[in-house]
Amino acid sequence: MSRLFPDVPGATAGPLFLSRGILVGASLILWTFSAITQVGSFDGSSPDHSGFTAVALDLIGCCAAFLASAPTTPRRQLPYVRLLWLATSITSGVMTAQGVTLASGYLALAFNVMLGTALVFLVCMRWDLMGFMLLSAANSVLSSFYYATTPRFGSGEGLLIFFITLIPGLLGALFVVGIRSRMEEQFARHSAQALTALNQHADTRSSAHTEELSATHQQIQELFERAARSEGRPLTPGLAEEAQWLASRLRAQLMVAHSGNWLTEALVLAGLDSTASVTAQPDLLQRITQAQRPAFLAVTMLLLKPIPDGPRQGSGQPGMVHVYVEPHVDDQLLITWRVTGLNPNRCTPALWSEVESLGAPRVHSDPGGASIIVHVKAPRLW
Amino acid sequence: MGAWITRLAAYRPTLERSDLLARSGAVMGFVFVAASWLYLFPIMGGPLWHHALAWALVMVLAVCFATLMRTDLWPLRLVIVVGLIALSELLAGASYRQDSDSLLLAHSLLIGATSTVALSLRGSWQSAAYTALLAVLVFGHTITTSIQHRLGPTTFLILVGFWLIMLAIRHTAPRALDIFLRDQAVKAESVAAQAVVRDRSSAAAQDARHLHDTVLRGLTLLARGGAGLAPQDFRSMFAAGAYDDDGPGLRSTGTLTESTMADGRPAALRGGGGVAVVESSTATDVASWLKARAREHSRNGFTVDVFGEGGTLPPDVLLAVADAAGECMVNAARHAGSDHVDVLISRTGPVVSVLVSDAGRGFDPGSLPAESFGVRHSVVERMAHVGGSARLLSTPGRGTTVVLEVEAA
Repeated sequence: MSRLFPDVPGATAGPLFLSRGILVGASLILWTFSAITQVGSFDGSSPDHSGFTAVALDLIGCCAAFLASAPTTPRRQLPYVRLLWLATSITSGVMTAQGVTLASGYLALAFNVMLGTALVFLVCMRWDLMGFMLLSAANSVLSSFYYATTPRFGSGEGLLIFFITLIPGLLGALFVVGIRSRMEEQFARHSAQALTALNQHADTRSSAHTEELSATHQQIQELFERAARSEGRPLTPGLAEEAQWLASRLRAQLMVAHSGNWLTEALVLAGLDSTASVTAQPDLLQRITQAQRPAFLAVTMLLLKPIPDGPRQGSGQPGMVHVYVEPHVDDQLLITWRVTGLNPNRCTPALWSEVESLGAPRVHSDPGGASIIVHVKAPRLW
Repeated sequence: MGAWITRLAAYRPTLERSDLLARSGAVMGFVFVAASWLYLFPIMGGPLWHHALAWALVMVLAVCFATLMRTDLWPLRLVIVVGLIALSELLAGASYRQDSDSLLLAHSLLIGATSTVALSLRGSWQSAAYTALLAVLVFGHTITTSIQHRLGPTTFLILVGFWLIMLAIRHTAPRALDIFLRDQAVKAESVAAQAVVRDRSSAAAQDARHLHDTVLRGLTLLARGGAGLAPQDFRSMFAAGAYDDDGPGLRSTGTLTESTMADGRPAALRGGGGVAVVESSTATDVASWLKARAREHSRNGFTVDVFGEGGTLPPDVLLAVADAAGECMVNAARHAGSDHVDVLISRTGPVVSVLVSDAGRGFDPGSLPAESFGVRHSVVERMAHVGGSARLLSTPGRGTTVVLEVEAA
């Protein structure tokens, strides 16, 4: 199981499949054909109320599935949306199966189960692999059941439908496992490369400070040697003054070493400090737990790095990112990412998945860009 | 066979994202052919040569799909399309055809599997024209046979659906894959950056704590003229090498244990004037260590009493708790204006708590300045470094209590 669910940040939070757009497109195509066959009566059946109702229920099911796969839908609402889809799917399947006669209705049922199979992918987009496999199997059993209730049901047909509806689920699971495996390998490779490069960068950046601190340390050693040689005799005022000066200097150097914060440091290391501005008291940033920091940084970096260009050249280019961290009630912090020129609808699912791992996000859009706001639980340091 | 496939693969065009799609199409095509075949072949009628030809076609298609995993050369796609059409015709001949027959669904899926060749569509007009030609071939055959057998639009609609979905995948998937890979790369970089910063900060904080608790304290004593120190304490404190660790900023990101217990044994602090001098000790229980610290800090009228038992702790955790409690004692002696500190040790399950209380002047914890190394780094961060916590409870005029908590496991 650990192979199926690698320990990669965001891996279990979805999305399960690469592209929601493909699944939405496929579902719409199948719904259109399903509606045509239900209402169009290609096979000689006369359209009735149950057919129209089934088409309407399928449309509601599609909307529920789209909602279940939308990155901005709060995670706590997802189980209810999935249940809604399941209810509409079962009702629509039963109604369509009831409309099947010896001579007609078979085609409408075929498209109905195909639509259900496609919607399983959308419904499970933000679920895990086990949930997807479970729902695929349930959908296959239900599809077989619909066929079993038709008058034309014969030996083997239920089994055929069961397998036909199970095949996409199996292919989907195979695809997810393959992608997860590639993702795990790529993540490990990228992490190793980034660690090497960032460590070198960090060494270069800290060398000046280390040398300065070492020089101070050397002076302190010499002072202590002179103090030891005094054998407990009263110290000269000069030595006490030098000790005072070195203490001030050492304290200042230690303060300089701690003047930054982990977020700014990480952004500087990643070379993204020129397009990001962090407004936060160091104390507040320190309150963010080590477990939350990777997600916080990942969100900031995902907002800062450009999305690969598609046909709409430049549409994915981010603007300036301002990060604000403010205190909030009940040991909570309010984190706001203000991004100029950002269209939240074009943010990737990985970004929402990282934001959601911090807390329930709120999004405000305006002509100048967008703000993503999240409340994070961060207890005080003391 | 392997050499033949390798030779074919050598002639394939430059690898693109679409190659991954072509491979996915090969898997999908193979699965649909296999499912249709398993369902239709057992009920297939007709002469023996029909059966033999159907077997041969399935074998050819299986080889083609296997080859498609390595290359998507145009003749291969043509063979797949023609093979699927021929196989559907052979299997269709074995059954009766009508729109409400479930067998037609299996035939339609078989024909629909031709759409997987659309996944090999590339961004050139030659490729578009060739894919369109294959589509015309499939749709032409479907329309012709539908008219010939007076069938309804079932197969045609399913075929249209398959091709539209595959074209949508071909159009959308490469960019989706690019975005997915980019997101993974950014996440990997963010994890690496956070790890580097965390390790560096941890090492720097460790250095800072070490310097604050030893060197800086020694400098302060010297600046005050060494007041309060006996001559022998003075000599031992400033003897050559007493402070000479690896030097600030030069230590690796090793643990506190590594940096302070080089000989592998637990170490206790001894000395005078609040200056830490490392001494070996075999005690591993919290009470013994804190009593040693209490003796160390009790001087010039200032007393520290230790009560309770906390059992044993791992060496690095024990050292952190003792150092943090010692720092609390030093702070109380310096700033509280009280001449006495009580240290209460207790253990509830795996959690060991140490309360360091004084009845001094107290202060507002919220007003603690950022440059306050003593509390922030030497107490709070030191405890956090070993997975523990420190809480500061103080009110102006009503004393101060510092609660140190850590899990033994």
